[in-house]
Amino acid sequence: MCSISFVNLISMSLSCFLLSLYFLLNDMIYFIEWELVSLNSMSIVMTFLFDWMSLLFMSFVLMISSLVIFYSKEYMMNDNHINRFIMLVLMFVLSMMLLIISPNLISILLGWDGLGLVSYCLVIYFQNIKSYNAGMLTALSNRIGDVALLLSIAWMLNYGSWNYIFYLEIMQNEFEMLMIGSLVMLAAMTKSAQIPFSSWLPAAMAAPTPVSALVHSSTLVTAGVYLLIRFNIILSTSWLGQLMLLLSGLTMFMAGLGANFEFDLKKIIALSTLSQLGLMMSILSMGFLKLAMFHLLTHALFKALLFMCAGAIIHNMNNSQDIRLMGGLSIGIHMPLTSACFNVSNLALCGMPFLAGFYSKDMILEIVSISNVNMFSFFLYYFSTGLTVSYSFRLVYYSMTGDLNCGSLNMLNDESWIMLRGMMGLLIMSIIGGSMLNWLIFPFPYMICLPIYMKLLTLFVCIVGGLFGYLISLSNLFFLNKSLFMYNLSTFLGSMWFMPYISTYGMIFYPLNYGQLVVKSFDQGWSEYFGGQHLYQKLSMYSKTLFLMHNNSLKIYLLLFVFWILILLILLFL
Amino acid sequence: MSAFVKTVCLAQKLCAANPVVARQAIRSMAGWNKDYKPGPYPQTEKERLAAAKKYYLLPEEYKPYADDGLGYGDYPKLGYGLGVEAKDSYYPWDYPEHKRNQHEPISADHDLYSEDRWSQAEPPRYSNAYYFACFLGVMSGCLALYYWLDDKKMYRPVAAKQYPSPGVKHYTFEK
Repeated sequence: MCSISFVNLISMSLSCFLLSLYFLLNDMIYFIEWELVSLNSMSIVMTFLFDWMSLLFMSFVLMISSLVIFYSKEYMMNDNHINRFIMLVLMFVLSMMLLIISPNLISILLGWDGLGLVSYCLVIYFQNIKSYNAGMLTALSNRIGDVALLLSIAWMLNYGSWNYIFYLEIMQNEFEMLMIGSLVMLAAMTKSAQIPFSSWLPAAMAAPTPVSALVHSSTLVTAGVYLLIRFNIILSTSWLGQLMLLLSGLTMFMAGLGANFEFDLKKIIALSTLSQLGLMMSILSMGFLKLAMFHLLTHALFKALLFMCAGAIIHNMNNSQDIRLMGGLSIGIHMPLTSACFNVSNLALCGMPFLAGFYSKDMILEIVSISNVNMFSFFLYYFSTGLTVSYSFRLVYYSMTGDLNCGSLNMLNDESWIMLRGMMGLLIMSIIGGSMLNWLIFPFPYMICLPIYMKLLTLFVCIVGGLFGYLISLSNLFFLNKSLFMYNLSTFLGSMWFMPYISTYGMIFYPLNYGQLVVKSFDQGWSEYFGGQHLYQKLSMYSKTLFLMHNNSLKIYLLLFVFWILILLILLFL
Repeated sequence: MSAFVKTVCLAQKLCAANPVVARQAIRSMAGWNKDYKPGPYPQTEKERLAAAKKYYLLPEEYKPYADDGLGYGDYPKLGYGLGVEAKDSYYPWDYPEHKRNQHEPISADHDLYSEDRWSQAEPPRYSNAYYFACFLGVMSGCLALYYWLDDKKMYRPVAAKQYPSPGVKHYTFEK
């Protein structure tokens, strides 16, 4: 099952990639329409949009999902129901494909809801209480976005068709289009876990690691970014773009801070994904949609690789995810190839020159420098970049350097060849992918003229961030004292600005109690009085009274019946 | 199909051995019956003591809901506090899935406090109001800062704009 899916998906990915190259070089866009039903002047048409963006995204999604399925052959080896797992992943990929090639809100909704539903099924895959709660948080946060998308469909009824792609340019200054844009922005914010909907992404790490590699790093969370790329005109021509810039900048900042306090391996990587999503959204809100697409694609490559390495490490640690229990020698010496992939993906994330992440991140930061951007946003961009390097170095410090911290019975080996082969594919793409995409997407160089100190600011921030990350990890002797000294601040920053608490316990208790009051007053109270119980009692009381009148005689009953019919007829004809 | 037939045969055998089994099974299949209904609100001390005994509670711990139309008769009001998750996972409960002992009274809101609904493993560090205040305070602070700095942009150093005026050399950059 795994091998067949892998072969299918990788061949589809290759064909999509070649098509995307052809479309890119010849500047082609294909609209393929299929009329389903036609009734007088109304017709229901299914449209597919093929342009270089959708084909390139499809090829990347298919490639990553093929490698993840290949990887999960060994990762999920001990699972009895691996077929179910592969089916779910394939359903996910299908929903994603539908979303990517839709120029039409209804088919986007199908893909969008499919993504939310299948990701719920995947998060609750290991059926324990924690997974159920995480799945509920994921599904309900995504549901808010689904509702927003449904509302935007309702608003699009103003235009006569749901093909937003035709109306975006022409109607950009209208109120209805602003409403639609704001609803779509809300949907994208929930899907891509921006503030205030960020709590589901770290919680969704309860899913199996291949699911995190595919879903929570490269595909599901980027669906929101992709939708906003399509709706970019609305963002850039209204105040929505400024609001988005602030919220996504704060998300980037908050996630970077949170990752510096975390000790769970998968949560650090999840917060790193959240930070990069904030970066994508913020550059998109400034109007640079090609850059957002570029970063989306490069990020997908090295983040999926990072998750896969994390999965291999977790396997070796006997399913422990705590980085404090991962000593240096264990990873660096006993798992050479995995640690090489881990290092490469971390460096790509940090923006190490000439790896995948460098091209996108550096270009984004340079564009931010030459744009007249709010000083607060400028600070958020650069500080978050520094924080990214800081938590990456911290992660490497805890997992790769230092002494052996894991238990004595852990068999550390790097012999999981199937998982390694899956990672190798992404390793090659992490190294060459950035430059390849750079030369494809931006065929003509854009003149970025900056003074020397602003040009070097990115590099400077990365180096300082790395040093800072290393130094704060070193200070473990005084850690207990320091963290207690600023306890309130560290709790606030380390728990994602209290959003998980607010989104769960804060939001739920009073509505649940109020719901119980409503159930007792209405469902079990007045509704029963006007509906089931009281109506039944009244009718039985009347029938008992009538029964007394009959005095057990059938003739009187039939006579009463005839009288009743006569009265009805008189009333009818009067 | 064969599994269904086998189950029916087994049920027949069990019922033939002991008829009470069938009646008990039917009673539990109905879910709820009149015997489960709590009694009326206890007015006298004697009724209170009888109700406390019925629910396996000590008289000093027994406290019914207020009789204001939304009460539950003589069913005790049991505070769950943090919920089922706060109960010890390692204690040998009689019913470990529910973390409950035999005859331990079940709260009227039990389905609210179960492990997959509202239940917290440990008491929250701060009050609800503190959590909301911190988050909303920081967000509004950031919003205010953003709004204030909106006209103070970060721009790369550029020269002052050259306007043509008499006596000043003005470049037009044409070929």
